Amino acid sequence: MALVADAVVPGQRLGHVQEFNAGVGTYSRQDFIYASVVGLKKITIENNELPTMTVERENTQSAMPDIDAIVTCKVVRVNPRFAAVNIMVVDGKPCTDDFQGIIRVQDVRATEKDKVKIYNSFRPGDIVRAQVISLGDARSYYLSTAANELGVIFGTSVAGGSLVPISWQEMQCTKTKVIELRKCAKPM
Amino acid sequence: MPSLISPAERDYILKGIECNVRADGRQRPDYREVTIETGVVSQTSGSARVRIAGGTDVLVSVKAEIGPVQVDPETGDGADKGQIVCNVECAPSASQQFEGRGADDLNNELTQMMSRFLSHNTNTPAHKSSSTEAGAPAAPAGPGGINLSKLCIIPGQQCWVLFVDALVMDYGGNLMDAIFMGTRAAIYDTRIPKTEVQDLGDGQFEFEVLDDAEDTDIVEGREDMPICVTLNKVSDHFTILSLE
Amino acid sequence: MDRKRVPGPELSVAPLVEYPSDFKRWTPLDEIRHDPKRQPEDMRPIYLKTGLISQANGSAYIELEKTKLACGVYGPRPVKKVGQVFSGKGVLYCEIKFATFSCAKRRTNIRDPQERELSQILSQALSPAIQLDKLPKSAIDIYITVLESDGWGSCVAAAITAASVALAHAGIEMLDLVAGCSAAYIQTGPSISSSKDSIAASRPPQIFMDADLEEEKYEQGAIVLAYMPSLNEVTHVLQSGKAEGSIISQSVEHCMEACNKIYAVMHHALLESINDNKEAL
Repeated sequence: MALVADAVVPGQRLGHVQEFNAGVGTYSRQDFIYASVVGLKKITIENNELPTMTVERENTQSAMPDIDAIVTCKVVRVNPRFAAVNIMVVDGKPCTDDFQGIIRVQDVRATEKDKVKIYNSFRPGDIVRAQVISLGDARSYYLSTAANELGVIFGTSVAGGSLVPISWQEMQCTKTKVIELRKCAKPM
Repeated sequence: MPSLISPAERDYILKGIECNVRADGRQRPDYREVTIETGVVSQTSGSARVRIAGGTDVLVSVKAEIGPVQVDPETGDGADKGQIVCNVECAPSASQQFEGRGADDLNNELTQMMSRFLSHNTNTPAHKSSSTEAGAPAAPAGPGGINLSKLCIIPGQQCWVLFVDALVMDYGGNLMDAIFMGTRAAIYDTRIPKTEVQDLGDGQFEFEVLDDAEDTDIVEGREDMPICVTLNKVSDHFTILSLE
Repeated sequence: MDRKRVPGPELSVAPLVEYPSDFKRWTPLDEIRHDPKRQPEDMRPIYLKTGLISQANGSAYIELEKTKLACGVYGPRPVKKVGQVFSGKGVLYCEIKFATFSCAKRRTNIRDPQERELSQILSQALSPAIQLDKLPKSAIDIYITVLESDGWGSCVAAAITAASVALAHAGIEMLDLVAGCSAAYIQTGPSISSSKDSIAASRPPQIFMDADLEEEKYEQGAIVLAYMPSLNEVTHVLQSGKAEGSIISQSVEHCMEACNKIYAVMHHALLESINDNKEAL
């Protein structure tokens, strides 16, 4: 339940830590809660807990991949060790600038990791749903598709038709009925 | 490279500073030992080497050369003034982070800082020196103390240009302090040859640099030169001359 | 060497300006400021607006009479620089550029040492206010273009103010806004006697807040202060020239007061940006 809606700017004092919990868009410092973004302040009251102070951003910053976030990405390159991808959407929010990520061969699926072949799991151009497992190295985030609902969600066959999943590791071309191998995501 | 310290070590340092004792036994407001040598480079007009115990080692040299005066076209300032040109360079051998172009930003920052203090002319659009208009507040010397008018040989034509170059040979914190100490020491050490100006008439002048090593000028205003002390704020206390 | 543009003559001088005979240049002797309407502690009126650069994540434009600059913030975005090592904290990169026509003397297109130094000063002044630890592996880029400069100090101060408003406008999490303010120490009044040494002893210099170019020509020293008004913390002090310690601490006080006034302007500009968004919807 939202009680107060009021516009605030970074650094504005919102209350005492004894009165509120610091939520999204706020931070606490020396017994006080301050706003950290421009936006509208909101106080949500939950039963038997301190009310939480949050600030809803007015100008959303670009989405950033974070550990455990579910991302949607496009495969740009594959080699036997990993598939390189561009992260385009993080938790349903689009990124203004593509972030680079890689899905290493050991992170493609949860079982029989030694049998995984990248080329039988992803092809360049595929759209993949994956989870961020680490901030990775200087350049790329490390992603994983080791779960039923993670994997290729859209792809194009060699002939140019779109692919539909027929099993968890096969997809069929709608045009030519040719079966191609992919690590498919379970339809949600 | 930012040196890595463990939380335990960090805590040890912080607690020590709170108790007014630092890792090397100093109290908070204590300096490290400073060694200054002058006249270390024979090819210069003046030089100094400053070493601070624990690493920092800076060599400052002053070279005097003759050049044309620089006049501000709008105000006509500068016709009777010499110039000081500063440069700070961090040797790549001083620290791993100075490798390649790594020191560029630091070099530039320190150079600009020094120029601001010494020559008062950081090529800012604003010309800060005094005006020649009668009655205007005339600052006799820049903030660096040095009397630039005394460095002029023929007003409107020739002047001494002092090139102050600092070379950082080892980096162990408190770079700024060492550079300022070194600059002051090197300027104190500087001897500029005397000149003799002859008036040839028609506004023509000629001058001769006297080649007498015994009879030379000092840099006037050297006793007013600034020095600098770095304070580091560690939690709620200040420490002087801390290590990196 | 700049090979991308057709360069002008290697050596050029600004033309000498001949003023009419009744023209009187401002000097501190007048005991009033260059702008006679201003008191020593008065700043110039500030115009501040967000969201002028549509492509940037956040932007701000600031105007203090003849000091005008625009600021764009891009990011947080992935670090693109080669050779960048992994960093758990975000990187703040600032670049300030004087337009070639912004100063009395033409500036070059190439970044000069002064611009590079100002860029460093800016990132030092702003980074304490940004929660960079919440942005691992990413970079925030701030680009500032000075369109017109009327005083070096006021330019730096305005750049700090505009950049922090643009950062807030970009939705980047900050601890506080940073306001920048400048002041110059100027010896005023006909106290100048023939003996040079008596000047310093005669009377303390006046502190002129937010000095303009004409006043800067007579300054003995200047200070630029970056200050976080609601946390009551100073993030950067840039002091040049010489002045007594008491004058410096006094001017720091003055600057902090002025920063509180600037904060009100920044606050207003950001709230306006919210209203603009509402109207657009």
